[in-house]
Amino acid sequence: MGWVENRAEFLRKHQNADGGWGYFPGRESRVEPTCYALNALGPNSAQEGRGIEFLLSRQESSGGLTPSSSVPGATWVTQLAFPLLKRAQAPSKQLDKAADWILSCEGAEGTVMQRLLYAMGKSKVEQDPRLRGWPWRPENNSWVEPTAHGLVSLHWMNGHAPEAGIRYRRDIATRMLLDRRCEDAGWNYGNRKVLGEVLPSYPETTGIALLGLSGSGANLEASLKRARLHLDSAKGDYGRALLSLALRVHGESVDYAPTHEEVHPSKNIILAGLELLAGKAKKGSLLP
Amino acid sequence: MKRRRLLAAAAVSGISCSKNEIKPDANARGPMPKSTVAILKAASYEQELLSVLESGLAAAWPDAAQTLRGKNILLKPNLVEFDSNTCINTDPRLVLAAREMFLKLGAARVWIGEGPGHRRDTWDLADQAGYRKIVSDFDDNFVDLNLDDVRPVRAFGDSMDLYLPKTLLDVDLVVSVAKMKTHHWAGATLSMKNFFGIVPGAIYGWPKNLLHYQGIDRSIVELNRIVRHSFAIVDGIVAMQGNGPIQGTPVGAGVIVMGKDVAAVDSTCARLMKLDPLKIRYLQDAASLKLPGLGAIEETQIEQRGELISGLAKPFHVVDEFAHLRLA
Repeated sequence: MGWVENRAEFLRKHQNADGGWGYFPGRESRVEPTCYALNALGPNSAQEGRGIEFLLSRQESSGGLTPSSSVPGATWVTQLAFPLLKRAQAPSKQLDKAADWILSCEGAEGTVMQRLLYAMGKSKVEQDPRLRGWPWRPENNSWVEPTAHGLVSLHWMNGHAPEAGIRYRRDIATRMLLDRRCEDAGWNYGNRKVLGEVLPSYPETTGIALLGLSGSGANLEASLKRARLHLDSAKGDYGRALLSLALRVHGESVDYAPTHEEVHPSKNIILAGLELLAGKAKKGSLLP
Repeated sequence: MKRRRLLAAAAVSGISCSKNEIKPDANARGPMPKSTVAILKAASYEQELLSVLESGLAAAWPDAAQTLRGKNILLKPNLVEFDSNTCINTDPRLVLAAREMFLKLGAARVWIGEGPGHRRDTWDLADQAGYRKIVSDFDDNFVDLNLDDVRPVRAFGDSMDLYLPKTLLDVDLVVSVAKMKTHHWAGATLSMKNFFGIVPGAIYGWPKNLLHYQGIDRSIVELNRIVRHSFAIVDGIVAMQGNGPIQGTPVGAGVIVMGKDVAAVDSTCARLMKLDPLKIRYLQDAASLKLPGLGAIEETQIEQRGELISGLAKPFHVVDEFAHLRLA
């Protein structure tokens, strides 16, 4: 069995009875690994129906999805799940509510004091507080990863939210990601400079940010070069898979090969899903 | 701590004090017993560290063997980022020695667990930092605390449920195997601040913004109030000074500090760094709780064993904001 079939079999085998996947086999189902597993196994897989049922079971009355059945409160996983729900033609009413939640959730930065300090050049971190993306949890600041997933979700929202609202969030969030880009043209979690010290980008977050910016029309030449450099030097499979996936989604030629023929010893469900995606993604994948 | 200090801390973190303050233990009465802290000389990671740790444990926790036989233990190192030019993380050789020590004492299982605040690929980080190479059975005994199943505990003045890793909540002892470093937001990061890594990223994100919203000092104290089944081992063999916890520079301090009272351990570390623990806010706040076994920060409240502070202390550089912490 080759590595692709290894990963696919691993994912198929470890779908929980409730239709979701945990971060590791046998663990509580969570929305995040479920989304990666469903994406990796592709539309119309035998696992999709139950997986989508699990995702829908996590939707609160607010429209947002909670991370798992044991953790209440809608979070960033809503924007991660939205494209899958749309692709699977989930009920329109539920999609409308999820879209509404995503559009109304934004970073908490931008207080008068933060804007003032930023304008005076006295902010401890170099982030334009006017540019709000998405937070990990409501009422927190916006960061790179949830914002990237938010941008992807906007591509799937036509017909479920006002076009002006989608356009507004896309514009601001795109600018936010570009504002948070590190000096080396990649991304870390979302701080390019702290206390005057320049911070480097990471492989995995560079990949995630590039996924979020696919189809944005932004000039990403330097960032794609940085992604290539990270891919050449990164040792971790998680970062390498994300970079390969992002480069392929941007139309670049990459042959992803995992460092382990067998499933990674961490038995991480997300990683297995990412590796499958990295091996088969094409330009524009993950977008409608 | 005086109420005005709490109010000041709350104002900095933007939190209403009346709603969320951490209250002193109403049952605490009379003088607190002294907390024991062991200070051990260790010049290098190349030396045999197991015997050093064993002598430290015997000094700081004489009945550890009876207490820990058959128990489950979680070692929580400080694994943040990897940069081969500096010393951000707890050295894996010390973690290995700690693991061997507890297994030798008869612990049923000794896990290693961490949940980095910035990096999602904890395994890669552990790989780069040498953990997977040095700890031969790492793969079978490592828990990514960012992705572990979780359970709620009431936190921050009973104002919220804080979801923490089940592995952490279920073990009998959590050992903070921390790195001795200065910290640009908190002054110093030692065994108490190390517990930021127990808060799961999968619930609170990367970075764990919740802790910043609650206030860094307040969160440090709260996490240590919750995780009372703890022990501290601080790796000061090669420590970090300046713009820590990531971009500082290495400094050979040649010391390991151990003890059950994490605040007493951190206060001792601060003195070894020639910083005034009485001016480090989270240590002041921990002391104000008056919880038994957490918060002896005055020298008179600590029984030092092993080496003398005066023989090993050396001044650490700190960022300007924390210049007031320097001891003369």
